[in-house]
Amino acid sequence: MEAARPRSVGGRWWRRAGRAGTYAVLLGLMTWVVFPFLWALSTSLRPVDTLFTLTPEWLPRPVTLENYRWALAEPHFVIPLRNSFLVSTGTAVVSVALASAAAYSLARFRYRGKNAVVAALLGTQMLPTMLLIIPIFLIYARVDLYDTFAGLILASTAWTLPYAVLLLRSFFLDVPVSIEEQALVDGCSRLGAFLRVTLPLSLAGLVAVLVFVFIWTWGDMLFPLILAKNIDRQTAALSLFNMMQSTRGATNYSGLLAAGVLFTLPAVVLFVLLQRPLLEGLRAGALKE
Amino acid sequence: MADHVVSPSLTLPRRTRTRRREAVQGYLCLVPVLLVLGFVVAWPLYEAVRMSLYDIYLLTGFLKETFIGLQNYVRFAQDPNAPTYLLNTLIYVVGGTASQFLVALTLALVLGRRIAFAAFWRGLAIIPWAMPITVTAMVWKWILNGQWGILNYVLVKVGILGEYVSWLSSPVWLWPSILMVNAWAGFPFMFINLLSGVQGIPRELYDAARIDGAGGAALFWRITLPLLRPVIATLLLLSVIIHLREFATLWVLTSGGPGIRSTTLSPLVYVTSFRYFRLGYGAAIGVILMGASLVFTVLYLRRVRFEA
Repeated sequence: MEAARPRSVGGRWWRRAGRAGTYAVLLGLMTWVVFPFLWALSTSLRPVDTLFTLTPEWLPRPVTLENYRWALAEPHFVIPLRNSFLVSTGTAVVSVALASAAAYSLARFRYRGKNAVVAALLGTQMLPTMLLIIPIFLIYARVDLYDTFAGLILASTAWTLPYAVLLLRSFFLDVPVSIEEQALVDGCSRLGAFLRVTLPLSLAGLVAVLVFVFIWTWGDMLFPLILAKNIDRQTAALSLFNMMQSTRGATNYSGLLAAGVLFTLPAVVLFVLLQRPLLEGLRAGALKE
Repeated sequence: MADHVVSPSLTLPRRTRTRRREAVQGYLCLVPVLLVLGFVVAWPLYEAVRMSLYDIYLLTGFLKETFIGLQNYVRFAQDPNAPTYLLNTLIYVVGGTASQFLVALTLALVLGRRIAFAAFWRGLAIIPWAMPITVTAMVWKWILNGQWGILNYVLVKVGILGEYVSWLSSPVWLWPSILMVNAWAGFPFMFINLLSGVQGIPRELYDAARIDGAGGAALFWRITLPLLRPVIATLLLLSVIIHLREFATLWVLTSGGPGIRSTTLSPLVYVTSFRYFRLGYGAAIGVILMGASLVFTVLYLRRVRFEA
């Protein structure tokens, strides 16, 4: 113990310095993470003519809601925003409905070739979207799915399905088989047991997957970029990008950022409300070591 | 096969019959998913590989396809810009993976300790994940703006920079800026998985090592890192695959520019196919991209254990 004493005196100093360092790193990283949100908010609250200045101020002065009024009256934002809701909700519902059947099958039924299916799903997740979208574009043009909501929902569904199936499967696997067997003994059919026992018990997982798919589709700009042409079919992720590229957007950057804040809001609110199940999903989804 | 000889439902033992019914039900449940994936993934995948062997120029009409064998691939190999595209892809994949990993690991180690408001910080750190990439680009382009951006203003005022920098068009700062925004948008996924890895390491291990006289660095290199290795390996593989195919982040930030300086393979496929309408050539570059990511996908699949 004699030898340990000087160490521990030095150790205490080191520990204190280490603690200060830890907090400094945390503070630095968190500033970097949070600043863009605050800066977007702050910029969206100032009059556009105070934007282009060589001495920017940290807080908006005067504060104005003019930009939000502008964004909500701008058809190139409002119509695509509505489309985003349509396509994201549609994709979430369709994807989860199809995925839960497949996930249940993979979690509970005994048959051959299951490993192959799971491996195929994992592999599908890894394919480069950009390669597949060239033929998808041609196929869509041929079968009249180009520039339709159905086409967008179909493509986004396919893209989120592997993830949804694998994630739901892991949630179903967490429901003890014994509970389900009890329901079967009590006279439930297999379908009844699934609908009345397993599904309600994995409700948190179901919601998590719904929200995941929703947020993914909400933010995706590649499918709309290639599969939608008309403003009536574009989603906001794309139309905001188009606005940013146009001179109109470039000159009214505070209006653009107001639209950006409004567009981000639903995703962030959903995320904050459902953080716990979503975190579970982020963990479980891809990594079943 | 024997099913045709004897009527199965009467002769097979009951157990086998239920087994078979279960299998049929199981397969039936998969049908909708397989149909959708067949239509939007498998068929297009086959088409893409086939198209890469054809000369298809959209402006001359959909149906004019001329078989040219491997000429699209040869053409890419002979393209004087090909080395630039490949180098860009390498920079983006390696730089993007490394930077996201470093940020994620640092934050996971910090928040894995006993720290005030850890849950709050953790929640805050994942929010960039929920921000649509278009808006991310919008905000960062405003911050990084060469004339009016707040970053230049602050850095010059503090004295770190002598003069204003055009972050997203200067040859020196282009990639660092892209990688910084890319890290911001993409680190949360790695962070969450590393954090749960860090939190899963039993405290007793550290306590025992400390009694044996191990310092902070030794704890990290001898305990934390080795125990996290499986998670890290999987995450890095995933990240490489994701960066190889990433399009949106690059497109909304720089659209591959200035010139072709930030054009990786994925945006190149887009430009070739949908700007120049060379669909066959675009597909060939896409197939090359897929080949690269296939290597890492195989490595990834070998790491993942199925418990089916």
